[in-house]
Order: sequence, then C-alpha cells, then structure tokens
Amino acid sequence: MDNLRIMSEHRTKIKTEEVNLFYGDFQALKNVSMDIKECAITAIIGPSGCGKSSLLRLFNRMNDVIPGVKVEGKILLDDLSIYDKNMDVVNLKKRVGMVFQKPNPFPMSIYDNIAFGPKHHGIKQRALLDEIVERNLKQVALWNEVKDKLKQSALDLPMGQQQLLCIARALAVEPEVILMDESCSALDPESTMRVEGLMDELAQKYTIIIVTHSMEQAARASDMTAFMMMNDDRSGGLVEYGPTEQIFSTPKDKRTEDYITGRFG
Amino acid sequence: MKKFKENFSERVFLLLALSALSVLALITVFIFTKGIPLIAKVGVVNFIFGMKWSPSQGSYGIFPMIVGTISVTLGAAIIGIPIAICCSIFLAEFAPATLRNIFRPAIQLLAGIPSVVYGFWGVLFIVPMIRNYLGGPGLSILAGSIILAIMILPTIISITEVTILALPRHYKDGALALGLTHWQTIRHLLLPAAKSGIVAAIILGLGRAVGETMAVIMVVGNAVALPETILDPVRTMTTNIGIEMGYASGEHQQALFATGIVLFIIIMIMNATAQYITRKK
Repeated sequence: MDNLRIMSEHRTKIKTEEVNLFYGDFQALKNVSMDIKECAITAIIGPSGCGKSSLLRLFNRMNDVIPGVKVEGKILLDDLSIYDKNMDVVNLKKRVGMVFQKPNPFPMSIYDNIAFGPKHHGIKQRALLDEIVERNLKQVALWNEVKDKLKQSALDLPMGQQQLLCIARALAVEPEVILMDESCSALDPESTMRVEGLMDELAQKYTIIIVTHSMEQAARASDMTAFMMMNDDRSGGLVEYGPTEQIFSTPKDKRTEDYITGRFG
Repeated sequence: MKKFKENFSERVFLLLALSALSVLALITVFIFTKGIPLIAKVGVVNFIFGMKWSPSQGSYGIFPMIVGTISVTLGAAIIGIPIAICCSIFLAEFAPATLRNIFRPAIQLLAGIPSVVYGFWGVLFIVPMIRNYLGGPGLSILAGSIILAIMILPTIISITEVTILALPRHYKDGALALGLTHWQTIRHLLLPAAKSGIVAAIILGLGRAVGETMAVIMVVGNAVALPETILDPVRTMTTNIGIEMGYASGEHQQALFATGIVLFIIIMIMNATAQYITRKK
C-alpha cells in the first residue's frame, strides 16, 4: 500500500480545526485538528476512553442526541461547516453514513433494510428500489448469499452477514463518507477479513473512517492513522496523525511508539 | 428436621398458589352450571340474537346488550387509543426526565381511582355536558365511551411505553444515522417494531372496558333497546347483570349467569389473543 503519497495527492474531505467537545461540564475532546483524506481509509486508534468514538460521531452529528453536548471549533465537510446553525442535518447524514459496532439490522426483511433509507429520502418506484437493493447487496458481495431470501427477516442472518447488510444499508443512501465504529469487533476473524476486504474496495469511491481497538487492523487495513490519548484532565486529544506506514514504523511521538509496541493500552 | 421444614413450606406455598387457581376454576364451573340450562332451554341463537329482554314474560334475548357493550367499547377505543399511544410515545421518546417523573405516577394514579368515582364524575360532569351541548338524555353511548376511554388509558399507556423502551437502542441509532428525523424514526421503525406489544396493550385495555360495570351503569342510561345514535342510552352486558342481580331469581337469575358466560368467553378470547400476540414475537 503506497499510503505515503495519499497525504500529498488526495484532497481533504473532512477538516477539523481545534475542535473541543463537551458533554455538560466534561470535556471529551480537546484541541483536535486533522485533515481526513478523500478516498482513503483513515483509522483512529488509541486506548479506551480517549475519545475515538466521540470524534467519529462528530462527523455525522450523532452526538446531537446526547443532552448537554457542545462543540467548539470548526469541522468542515468539503467546504461546509458541519456544526453551522443552518446545517441540514438530514442531508449531512445522507452524505456521511455510519456502521456501528454491533450489527444492527432493523427487525424487517433483508430487502426492506436496504430500501429503508432510500424510501425515506423520497424514492418510491418499486423498480428503482429493486435496483438499489440489488446493486448495494452486490457491492458488499452479499447478493449471492441472500438473493433467494430477500423477504426473510434480516435478524436471521449470521452476524458477519448482518454487518455486511448494515454496510449495504448505509451505502444505499449514497453517502460520500462512511464512518465505522469498531465495526469488526463483534465479528469472527473470517467475517472481519471480509469486511476489511470490502473496505479496501470501497475506498476507491468513498472516504472511510474507522475507529478500531485493534492496532493490527489499523496497520493492515488503513492508509492514514490517527493516534489519540487521554490527557491528564481526562479529555481526549490527538497525539499523532500521519500515513499508516510511518505511524507504525517511525512514530514521531514517544507515546505513539509506546502504544504501538504494546507498552500500554 | 430441616428437610422436613423445607418440604413443608414448599407444600404450603403450592397449596396457596393452587387455591388462587382453584377460585378461577370454581367461578368458571359455577357460572357455567348456573347459566347453561337457560341457554339450552332458550337456544344459543335465540339467546344471543334475541331482541327482547323481558324476564317477567320469559323472553331472554341479549342482542341489544351485546350491541351496547360493543358500541361503548368501540367508542372507548376510538377516543382512548390515540390518546394512549401518543402519550406513551411522548413518555418514551420525548419527555424530559422531570416531566416523565410527574407523568408516570400520575397515570398510574388514574388506575387507582375507584370506578364508582369515575361514574360519579361522569354523571355530574360528562352527562350534563352532552345533554346541554349535543342533546339527547346525556346518559348515552358517548358518555360511557368517554369514561371508559379514560379508564383504559393507564393499561394501554404503561404497556405501550414499556414495549417502546424495551426496543434495542441501536435500532434508533441506525435509523438516525440514515438521516431519518426523530419522528420518522419513531413512526417508521420503532412503532412497527413495537407493534405486537402495542396490539396486546390495546386488547388488554379493551378487555377492561368490556368488563367494567359500575362506572358504566352510572352513565349509559341502561335502556334495553338498540341505539340509533351515539347519544342514545344503552345497556351493556355487565350493567345488565349489575342492575338485575339484586332481585333476580329462578330462570331470570340463570339468564344473568348466561349473560356472564358470554362475557366470560369474550374476555377469555381477548386475553388469549393478547397473550398469543406477545408470545409470538
């Protein structure tokens, strides 16, 4: 993977500038600035409680439902300020999709799971929905396994296939960015490999940001890596960010080196 | 000795548990043995579809009362269900904690008010309102429906709210992440997912409406006739038993027990349906 060149050759998709995040009085993120590259896989790693998921959830405003949440600083998607007062949150969530830690198919058929998003964004024609369902299931390489049971409940699928279905569901609303919050941590190794292989393909077209507990996953599956750590006041901060190769071979910060060599975390 | 004590207390608990069950069995047997002979004599069809209830002349048709029960219950459903469902959605999804902590016990309190008090309030408040603003005698299907609608709220609200709250949190996250608004998420994901619980809640609530007696006696007028509008008085099956039990004897008394059988079967079917629906999921 020639990820050293991504830094210079890919344009910036999401830019954060000195972002602070508060839950009530508690500061969860302090002074986070990073440029996330388009059509690349960016991994956010770090010990538990360092604010990885909080940072990820800033990008599609999933934090909004938490009472007392406050965001300072700038987060730009292309040139659009995500936390602008006039931001169309529905449109933002269409552009920035999310896949969760635990596969969360809805209690409905496989078909309806994929069609759920497009339907609510105004696509009503049956033929078009059929096409969307097929295209997205093919995109995640699940089509052959489920094409004969599209009407069956998605909850009956094995975990690995459920997660692929959830990725297909996120893709069905045609996002530009896909956030994956430890999306492999509930899967067996084989399914994990499948999802990682899929991520690699998707990165041709989509900007992918993953949060992961597994350094191995970050090392083998990502182009860029951000290492985060908890500050002394328990707020999360970005320690080092750069091409994955460089972070894992020649980290600049002592703390990054300690973490990736397994001295803590 | 210790083992004996253990065994003994176990038996005592079993016995007490059985006694509760045996009361159900006794009541069932009692109602049926008392009521069946009359149904056999009059004939099931004549009893259920007979238009005339005149014990002194030996006519025992309860059709007007079946219509009475159905119309009052249906009215309660039409008024009560939307209020109850909206209220439970509000409590489960929108209400801030402080408001919820006031609402929830208040709704539980509704269940604790004796039915005679509902009836009394109905007679003094609802009935005159209907008479003054809508006409008719005031004692009517509408009055009964309003009172029953309020009485079934706690049952439907609490079960529905629990069902919605029991849905996995990640359903909601998934829908919000797809760009649905909070309301769209509720409407298109949470409510369909909670459907079986909500239907069961509604059936249990309506079961209560079918069986309610005291409050209904006080506000529906109790005339044994087929109603033409919702402003007409009716008599329900329960109120029929409640009103006439005091002085009925012989065949008349049997006929009231027979009415009880019909009620019993209706409520058994409703409860069984509710249980079946909740268990299926």
